[in-house]
Amino acid sequence: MRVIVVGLGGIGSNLVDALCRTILFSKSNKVSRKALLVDGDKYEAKNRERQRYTAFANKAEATKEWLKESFPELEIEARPQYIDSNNILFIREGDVVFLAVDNHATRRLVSDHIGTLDNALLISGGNEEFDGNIQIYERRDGKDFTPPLTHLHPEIENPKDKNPAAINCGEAVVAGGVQLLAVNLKVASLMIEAFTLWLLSMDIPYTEVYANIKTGNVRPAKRIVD
Amino acid sequence: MEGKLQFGGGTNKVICGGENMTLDDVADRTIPEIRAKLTEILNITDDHQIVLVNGRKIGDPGSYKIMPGDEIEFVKPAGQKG
Repeated sequence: MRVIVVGLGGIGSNLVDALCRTILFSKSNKVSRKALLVDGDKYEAKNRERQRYTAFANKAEATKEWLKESFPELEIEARPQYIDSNNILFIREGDVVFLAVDNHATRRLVSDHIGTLDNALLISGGNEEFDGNIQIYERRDGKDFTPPLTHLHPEIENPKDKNPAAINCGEAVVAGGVQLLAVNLKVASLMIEAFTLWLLSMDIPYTEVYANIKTGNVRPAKRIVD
Repeated sequence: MEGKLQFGGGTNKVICGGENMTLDDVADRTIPEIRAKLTEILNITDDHQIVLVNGRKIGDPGSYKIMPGDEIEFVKPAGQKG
Protein backbone atom coordinates (compact mmCIF):
# COMPACT_ATOMS: atom_id res chain seq x y z
CA MET A 1 0.00 0.00 0.00
CA ARG A 2 2.55 2.47 -1.21
CA VAL A 3 1.86 5.92 -2.49
CA ILE A 4 3.37 6.65 -5.91
CA VAL A 5 3.64 10.08 -7.47
CA VAL A 6 4.18 10.04 -11.22
CA GLY A 7 5.22 13.44 -12.56
CA LEU A 8 6.94 16.08 -10.43
CA GLY A 9 6.27 19.23 -12.40
CA GLY A 10 3.84 22.04 -11.68
CA ILE A 11 1.25 19.85 -10.00
CA GLY A 12 3.39 17.02 -8.62
CA SER A 13 6.18 19.10 -7.07
CA ASN A 14 3.59 21.19 -5.24
CA LEU A 15 1.55 18.16 -4.23
CA VAL A 16 4.21 16.13 -2.46
CA ASP A 17 4.66 18.19 0.70
CA ALA A 18 0.96 18.06 1.59
CA LEU A 19 0.81 14.44 0.53
CA CYS A 20 3.66 13.38 2.80
CA ARG A 21 2.15 15.36 5.66
CA THR A 22 -1.19 13.65 5.07
CA ILE A 23 0.37 10.19 5.03
CA LEU A 24 2.54 10.86 8.09
CA PHE A 25 -0.27 12.10 10.29
CA SER A 26 -3.02 9.83 9.02
CA LYS A 27 -4.39 7.28 11.43
CA SER A 28 -5.56 5.15 8.56
CA ASN A 29 -4.00 1.78 7.86
CA LYS A 30 -4.91 2.07 4.18
CA VAL A 31 -1.43 3.30 3.25
CA SER A 32 2.02 2.55 4.56
CA ARG A 33 4.71 5.13 5.19
CA LYS A 34 6.30 4.40 1.83
CA ALA A 35 6.36 6.76 -1.11
CA LEU A 36 7.83 6.37 -4.57
CA LEU A 37 8.54 9.36 -6.83
CA VAL A 38 8.72 8.83 -10.59
CA ASP A 39 9.92 11.25 -13.26
CA GLY A 40 12.51 11.10 -16.06
CA ASP A 41 12.82 14.86 -16.44
CA LYS A 42 15.26 17.33 -14.88
CA TYR A 43 14.57 20.61 -13.10
CA GLU A 44 15.74 23.63 -15.05
CA ALA A 45 15.81 27.34 -14.28
CA LYS A 46 12.73 27.86 -16.46
CA ASN A 47 10.70 25.70 -14.02
CA ARG A 48 11.20 28.08 -11.11
CA GLU A 49 7.98 30.02 -11.69
CA ARG A 50 5.73 27.05 -10.91
CA GLN A 51 7.76 24.11 -9.64
CA ARG A 52 9.32 23.46 -6.29
CA TYR A 53 12.89 22.20 -6.36
CA THR A 54 16.22 22.62 -4.64
CA ALA A 55 18.61 21.36 -7.33
CA PHE A 56 18.99 21.20 -11.09
CA ALA A 57 18.82 17.44 -11.13
CA ASN A 58 16.44 14.64 -11.98
CA LYS A 59 13.02 15.61 -10.64
CA ALA A 60 12.36 12.36 -8.79
CA GLU A 61 15.79 12.25 -7.15
CA ALA A 62 15.92 15.95 -6.30
CA THR A 63 12.43 15.87 -4.76
CA LYS A 64 13.30 12.77 -2.77
CA GLU A 65 16.22 14.60 -1.18
CA TRP A 66 14.26 17.53 0.21
CA LEU A 67 11.31 15.37 1.21
CA LYS A 68 13.60 13.03 3.19
CA GLU A 69 14.87 16.02 5.15
CA SER A 70 11.35 17.21 5.90
CA PHE A 71 9.88 13.77 6.55
CA PRO A 72 12.59 11.43 7.90
CA GLU A 73 9.86 9.12 9.23
CA LEU A 74 8.83 8.21 5.69
CA GLU A 75 10.57 5.73 3.41
CA ILE A 76 10.90 7.68 0.17
CA GLU A 77 12.34 6.24 -3.02
CA ALA A 78 12.96 7.73 -6.43
CA ARG A 79 12.66 6.23 -9.88
CA PRO A 80 14.41 8.62 -12.31
CA GLN A 81 12.67 7.51 -15.49
CA TYR A 82 9.52 8.17 -17.46
CA ILE A 83 6.86 5.57 -17.01
CA ASP A 84 6.27 3.43 -20.10
CA SER A 85 4.95 0.04 -21.12
CA ASN A 86 8.30 -1.59 -20.34
CA ASN A 87 8.53 -0.51 -16.73
CA ILE A 88 4.92 0.06 -15.62
CA LEU A 89 4.76 -3.23 -13.72
CA PHE A 90 6.32 -1.50 -10.71
CA ILE A 91 2.76 -0.27 -10.02
CA ARG A 92 1.34 -3.16 -8.08
CA GLU A 93 -1.67 -4.38 -6.18
CA GLY A 94 -2.84 -1.98 -3.50
CA ASP A 95 -0.84 1.00 -4.71
CA VAL A 96 -2.22 4.51 -4.57
CA VAL A 97 -1.03 6.44 -7.63
CA PHE A 98 -1.03 10.19 -8.02
CA LEU A 99 -0.69 10.96 -11.70
CA ALA A 100 0.50 14.50 -12.44
CA VAL A 101 1.91 14.22 -15.92
CA ASP A 102 1.71 16.53 -18.93
CA ASN A 103 0.40 14.15 -21.58
CA HIS A 104 -2.65 11.99 -22.19
CA ALA A 105 -0.61 9.09 -23.58
CA THR A 106 0.80 8.42 -20.11
CA ARG A 107 -2.67 8.85 -18.55
CA ARG A 108 -4.01 6.18 -20.90
CA LEU A 109 -1.08 3.85 -20.15
CA VAL A 110 -1.44 4.13 -16.38
CA SER A 111 -5.23 3.93 -16.39
CA ASP A 112 -5.11 0.76 -18.52
CA HIS A 113 -2.58 -0.79 -16.15
CA ILE A 114 -4.62 0.08 -13.06
CA GLY A 115 -7.49 -1.71 -14.80
CA THR A 116 -5.51 -4.96 -14.63
CA LEU A 117 -5.16 -4.79 -10.84
CA ASP A 118 -7.70 -6.05 -8.33
CA ASN A 119 -7.29 -3.21 -5.87
CA ALA A 120 -5.72 0.15 -6.58
CA LEU A 121 -6.50 3.84 -6.48
CA LEU A 122 -5.51 6.31 -9.20
CA ILE A 123 -5.95 10.04 -8.75
CA SER A 124 -5.05 11.96 -11.89
CA GLY A 125 -4.81 15.73 -12.30
CA GLY A 126 -4.23 17.99 -15.26
CA ASN A 127 -4.75 21.58 -16.26
CA GLU A 128 -4.78 24.14 -19.01
CA GLU A 129 -4.09 27.84 -18.47
CA PHE A 130 -6.97 28.80 -16.17
CA ASP A 131 -8.79 25.54 -15.52
CA GLY A 132 -8.07 21.98 -14.61
CA ASN A 133 -9.61 18.75 -13.45
CA ILE A 134 -8.99 15.64 -11.43
CA GLN A 135 -10.23 12.12 -12.07
CA ILE A 136 -10.48 9.26 -9.62
CA TYR A 137 -10.23 5.67 -10.81
CA GLU A 138 -10.59 3.03 -8.14
CA ARG A 139 -10.45 -0.73 -8.49
CA ARG A 140 -11.99 -2.80 -5.74
CA ASP A 141 -12.02 -6.59 -5.65
CA GLY A 142 -11.20 -6.89 -9.32
CA LYS A 143 -13.91 -4.50 -10.50
CA ASP A 144 -14.12 -0.88 -11.52
CA PHE A 145 -15.55 0.93 -8.52
CA THR A 146 -15.30 4.16 -10.50
CA PRO A 147 -14.75 4.54 -14.25
CA PRO A 148 -11.25 4.59 -15.78
CA LEU A 149 -9.70 7.83 -17.01
CA THR A 150 -10.73 7.02 -20.57
CA HIS A 151 -14.45 7.00 -19.68
CA LEU A 152 -16.12 9.96 -21.44
CA HIS A 153 -12.65 11.24 -22.32
CA PRO A 154 -11.76 10.36 -25.92
CA GLU A 155 -8.74 12.66 -25.70
CA ILE A 156 -7.26 10.17 -23.21
CA GLU A 157 -8.58 7.05 -24.92
CA ASN A 158 -7.03 8.13 -28.24
CA PRO A 159 -4.24 10.48 -27.22
CA LYS A 160 -2.76 12.72 -29.88
CA ASP A 161 0.32 13.43 -27.81
CA LYS A 162 3.23 11.14 -26.98
CA ASN A 163 4.59 9.58 -23.86
CA PRO A 164 7.90 11.43 -23.24
CA ALA A 165 9.61 8.04 -23.03
CA ALA A 166 8.68 7.51 -26.69
CA ILE A 167 10.09 10.81 -27.95
CA ASN A 168 13.37 10.37 -29.82
CA CYS A 169 16.35 12.58 -29.12
CA GLY A 170 16.02 14.17 -32.55
CA GLU A 171 12.34 14.87 -32.08
CA ALA A 172 11.45 18.32 -30.86
CA VAL A 173 9.44 18.34 -27.68
CA VAL A 174 6.47 20.61 -28.18
CA ALA A 175 6.62 23.32 -25.58
CA GLY A 176 3.64 23.28 -23.24
CA GLY A 177 1.27 26.21 -23.33
CA VAL A 178 1.07 28.84 -20.64
CA GLN A 179 0.46 27.49 -17.16
CA LEU A 180 -0.13 29.26 -13.90
CA LEU A 181 1.08 28.24 -10.47
CA ALA A 182 -2.36 29.04 -9.04
CA VAL A 183 -3.98 26.47 -11.32
CA ASN A 184 -1.34 23.83 -10.53
CA LEU A 185 -1.99 24.41 -6.83
CA LYS A 186 -5.75 24.20 -7.28
CA VAL A 187 -5.46 20.83 -9.00
CA ALA A 188 -2.95 19.54 -6.44
CA SER A 189 -5.31 20.60 -3.66
CA LEU A 190 -8.26 18.78 -5.25
CA MET A 191 -6.14 15.63 -5.50
CA ILE A 192 -5.27 15.82 -1.79
CA GLU A 193 -8.93 16.42 -0.91
CA ALA A 194 -10.01 13.25 -2.72
CA PHE A 195 -7.19 11.25 -1.12
CA THR A 196 -8.13 12.52 2.33
CA LEU A 197 -11.71 11.33 1.94
CA TRP A 198 -10.48 7.96 0.71
CA LEU A 199 -8.09 7.65 3.66
CA LEU A 200 -10.94 8.42 6.03
CA SER A 201 -12.93 5.63 4.33
CA MET A 202 -15.59 8.13 3.42
CA ASP A 203 -17.49 7.80 0.19
CA ILE A 204 -15.99 10.23 -2.29
CA PRO A 205 -19.12 11.87 -3.70
CA TYR A 206 -17.55 12.44 -7.12
CA THR A 207 -15.33 10.73 -9.65
CA GLU A 208 -14.17 13.89 -11.36
CA VAL A 209 -13.84 17.55 -10.36
CA TYR A 210 -13.51 20.55 -12.64
CA ALA A 211 -12.14 23.90 -11.46
CA ASN A 212 -11.67 27.25 -13.13
CA ILE A 213 -9.78 30.03 -11.38
CA LYS A 214 -11.15 32.69 -13.74
CA THR A 215 -14.68 32.15 -12.50
CA GLY A 216 -13.88 30.61 -9.12
CA ASN A 217 -16.14 27.70 -9.95
CA VAL A 218 -15.43 24.16 -8.79
CA ARG A 219 -17.81 21.43 -9.93
CA PRO A 220 -17.77 17.80 -8.85
CA ALA A 221 -19.20 15.19 -11.21
CA LYS A 222 -20.09 11.60 -10.41
CA ARG A 223 -19.68 9.33 -13.40
CA ILE A 224 -21.24 5.90 -13.37
CA VAL A 225 -19.44 2.71 -14.38
CA ASP A 226 -21.03 1.43 -17.63
CA MET B 1 -25.05 25.40 -5.14
CA GLU B 2 -27.18 26.94 -7.84
CA GLY B 3 -30.64 28.13 -6.95
CA LYS B 4 -32.51 28.03 -10.19
CA LEU B 5 -32.40 24.35 -11.03
CA GLN B 6 -35.86 22.82 -11.41
CA PHE B 7 -35.81 19.21 -12.49
CA GLY B 8 -39.02 18.46 -14.32
CA GLY B 9 -39.76 22.15 -14.62
CA GLY B 10 -39.47 24.43 -17.59
CA THR B 11 -35.80 25.18 -17.25
CA ASN B 12 -32.70 23.36 -18.38
CA LYS B 13 -29.26 23.32 -16.84
CA VAL B 14 -26.34 23.33 -19.25
CA ILE B 15 -22.90 22.39 -17.94
CA CYS B 16 -19.38 22.57 -19.31
CA GLY B 17 -16.39 21.94 -17.03
CA GLY B 18 -16.76 24.02 -13.90
CA GLU B 19 -19.36 26.27 -15.48
CA ASN B 20 -23.09 25.95 -15.72
CA MET B 21 -26.05 27.99 -16.79
CA THR B 22 -29.79 27.67 -16.40
CA LEU B 23 -31.86 28.34 -19.48
CA ASP B 24 -35.56 28.89 -19.99
CA ASP B 25 -37.58 27.99 -23.06
CA VAL B 26 -35.14 25.66 -24.79
CA ALA B 27 -37.38 22.58 -24.85
CA ASP B 28 -37.63 21.05 -28.33
CA ARG B 29 -34.35 22.67 -29.34
CA THR B 30 -31.49 20.39 -30.40
CA ILE B 31 -28.08 19.96 -28.80
CA PRO B 32 -26.27 21.68 -31.73
CA GLU B 33 -28.55 24.69 -31.26
CA ILE B 34 -27.65 24.88 -27.58
CA ARG B 35 -23.99 24.40 -28.42
CA ALA B 36 -24.09 27.29 -30.88
CA LYS B 37 -25.95 29.51 -28.43
CA LEU B 38 -23.52 28.90 -25.55
CA THR B 39 -20.22 28.39 -27.36
CA GLU B 40 -18.69 31.61 -26.12
CA ILE B 41 -20.51 31.86 -22.79
CA LEU B 42 -19.52 28.39 -21.58
CA ASN B 43 -16.39 28.15 -23.76
CA ILE B 44 -17.60 25.05 -25.57
CA THR B 45 -15.22 24.08 -28.35
CA ASP B 46 -15.12 21.41 -31.04
CA ASP B 47 -13.06 19.32 -28.62
CA HIS B 48 -16.14 18.83 -26.47
CA GLN B 49 -17.28 15.74 -28.36
CA ILE B 50 -19.19 13.96 -25.63
CA VAL B 51 -22.63 15.20 -24.65
CA LEU B 52 -24.55 13.86 -21.67
CA VAL B 53 -28.24 14.33 -21.04
CA ASN B 54 -29.19 13.70 -17.43
CA GLY B 55 -25.80 12.04 -16.94
CA ARG B 56 -26.16 9.63 -19.85
CA LYS B 57 -24.29 9.71 -23.11
CA ILE B 58 -26.48 10.27 -26.13
CA GLY B 59 -25.61 8.71 -29.44
CA ASP B 60 -26.72 11.34 -31.90
CA PRO B 61 -26.80 14.78 -30.31
CA GLY B 62 -28.12 16.22 -33.57
CA SER B 63 -31.43 14.42 -33.40
CA TYR B 64 -32.13 14.67 -29.69
CA LYS B 65 -34.89 17.11 -28.77
CA ILE B 66 -34.37 18.71 -25.40
CA MET B 67 -37.11 18.12 -22.86
CA PRO B 68 -38.04 20.41 -19.98
CA GLY B 69 -35.82 19.68 -17.01
CA ASP B 70 -33.08 17.95 -18.99
CA GLU B 71 -29.59 18.56 -17.68
CA ILE B 72 -27.16 18.83 -20.58
CA GLU B 73 -23.42 18.48 -20.16
CA PHE B 74 -20.79 19.12 -22.79
CA VAL B 75 -18.00 17.02 -21.27
CA LYS B 76 -14.89 19.13 -21.03
CA PRO B 77 -11.68 17.35 -22.02
CA ALA B 78 -9.29 16.54 -19.19
CA GLY B 79 -6.49 19.02 -18.58
CA GLN B 80 -3.45 17.87 -20.49
CA LYS B 81 -0.64 19.65 -18.70
CA GLY B 82 0.65 19.49 -15.18
